[in-house]
Amino acid sequence: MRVKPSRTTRRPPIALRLHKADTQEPDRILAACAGDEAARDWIVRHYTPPIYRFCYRLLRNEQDARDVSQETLLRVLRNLHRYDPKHRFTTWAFTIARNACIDLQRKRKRIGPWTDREVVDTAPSPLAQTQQRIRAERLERALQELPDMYREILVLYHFEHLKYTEIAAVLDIPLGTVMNRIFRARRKLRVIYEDQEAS
Amino acid sequence: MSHHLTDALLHRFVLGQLDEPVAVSAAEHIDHCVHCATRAAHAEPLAGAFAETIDPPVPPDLVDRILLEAAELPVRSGGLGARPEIYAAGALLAVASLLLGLAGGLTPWMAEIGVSVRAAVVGGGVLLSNSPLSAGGVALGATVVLSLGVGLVVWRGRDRRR
Repeated sequence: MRVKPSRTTRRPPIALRLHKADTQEPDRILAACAGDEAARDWIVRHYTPPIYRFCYRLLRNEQDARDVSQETLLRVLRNLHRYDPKHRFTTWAFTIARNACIDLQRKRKRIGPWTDREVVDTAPSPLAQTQQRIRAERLERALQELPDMYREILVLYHFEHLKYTEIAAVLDIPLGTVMNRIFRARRKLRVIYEDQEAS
Repeated sequence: MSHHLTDALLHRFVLGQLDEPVAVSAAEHIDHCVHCATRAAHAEPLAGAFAETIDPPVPPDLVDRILLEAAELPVRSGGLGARPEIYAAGALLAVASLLLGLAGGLTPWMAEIGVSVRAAVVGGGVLLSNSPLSAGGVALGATVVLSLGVGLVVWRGRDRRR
């Protein structure tokens, strides 16, 4: 049974999202690796939203995103004993999520059409807000028209706010390749976005 | 952070107009500088549109569903990043280094280590023959000697490469 999403969440300001540091996170992860149940629960509660968002934007389907994010979190918990604290936990978790998405896409061999989700206003909707929403939806649609390799890199940077070096680790490519790919992706996205605006 | 990227450099960076080595250096700086990362995020031509996007809502039952499944997973606590194959490789390396040392070594510096190891083994044997040590003590002594051998081999090898 599919449960209707309750509310959309508005994104926090960029300065808050960049380089956010949870000082307790390393301790919680160490505790989870040592088998602490409360810490394992914390990982699920803390990492499910970003992993779900990432999967949703990559797979373009709510049900697939649910399944893959669930599989990702379970894989993370099953393999906690293999986690190497020299690397950032987020990077490790996103790598697992990306692999799970690729597995599903390979299995399907096709990707379904972009399914528009219901967008619920979280504030009164004057004209400015409507225009804002239209611009945001246009950007999301432009993003969906990008090839997978460009979409995933933009999602990791602009939506999940990973650092460039972390993206290199998740995608397993050199930093120079990350930079080239992200610039090409932005250029293509801008062209598609402006075309949509013109039409 | 003692310095920041200039506006001109940052502008060319977000537009992808820098050569790759310069772009990589700028990216490394941005990764560690909140100030420049924030400026770069605002300088991106589609920054406004990105900021206006709304995150897809997480299905409200998803976390509970995962927690329910997770409760049935066996909890495997252990060393972080610990892998049995690493321990196996370490043990094999220790044995191989001991054998090489005892056999005289492939190179002069290994031979030097071999002399030390042989001396340690002979010395240990003499001590053991005159003392009522348990099998655990013998194993402990052997492990110490093996570890010293591996440590010396690694250390001398590093020293030579410099």
